[in-house]
Amino acid sequence: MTSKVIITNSSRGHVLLKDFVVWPGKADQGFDAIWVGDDNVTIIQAKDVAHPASSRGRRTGSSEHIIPAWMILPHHGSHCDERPPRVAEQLLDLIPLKYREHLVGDLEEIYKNDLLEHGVQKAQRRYWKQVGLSFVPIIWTVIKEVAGLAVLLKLIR
Amino acid sequence: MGKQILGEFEQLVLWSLVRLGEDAYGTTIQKEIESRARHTCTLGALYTTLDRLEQKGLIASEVGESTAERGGRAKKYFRIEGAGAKALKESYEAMQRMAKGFVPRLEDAL
Repeated sequence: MTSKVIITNSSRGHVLLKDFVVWPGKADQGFDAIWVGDDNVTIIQAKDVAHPASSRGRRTGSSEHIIPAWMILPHHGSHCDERPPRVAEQLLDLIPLKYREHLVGDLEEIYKNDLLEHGVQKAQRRYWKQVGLSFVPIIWTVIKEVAGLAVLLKLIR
Repeated sequence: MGKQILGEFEQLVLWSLVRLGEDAYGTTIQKEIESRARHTCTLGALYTTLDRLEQKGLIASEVGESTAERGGRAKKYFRIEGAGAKALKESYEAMQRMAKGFVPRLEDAL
């Protein structure tokens, strides 16, 4: 059974999104909140909530399931999905250095947001599209700069 | 006259810097242009334009913090300079003067 779960770990400052296979017995139930620790994952289930929300926002009376992290298995792909497509990333090495670092950082930020909102496939498609479209204006600018220099050299000679 | 002539995309980029203030970097500028101007904006086109505007002295940039969600890469923040604000204002006013009273003609032509 699969269940789409967003696992956040704000203490580590990163967010993971996967279609996870949750250990049998947990998969078809709704989740109210999830905490990820280093060794385990705490799942608070909304269905079991018996009392109104407490002032801290955490509901008393809800049932907590603490399960080891290894029991949460990636449904498809791997942790590599957190990274943009490698070939596309390598293509970006062709971009001049003055644009590269910030552009690659922006692309990665967009990729991770897309991963959260749309899933792996769409995030990868959009990453490829962005890489492809970003190449044209940059390469064109480089060509113009080189051509401009060539003309200048010709005039000087 | 000696005024800076700004292209359409340059104006959009400068307006987005004005709108975003201190939070203007690649991703936010791209989002601002695509959502408000409904204009396709690739990061490649954006960075070449930002580079050109910086060379003209219309904007300035500084490198910010690196974050995990960017793979440890730093953000580059941009802000509009006085010359950029002046050029943008002049371009906007020139467009307004050209369009004044003639917008209804566009409706006729449609």
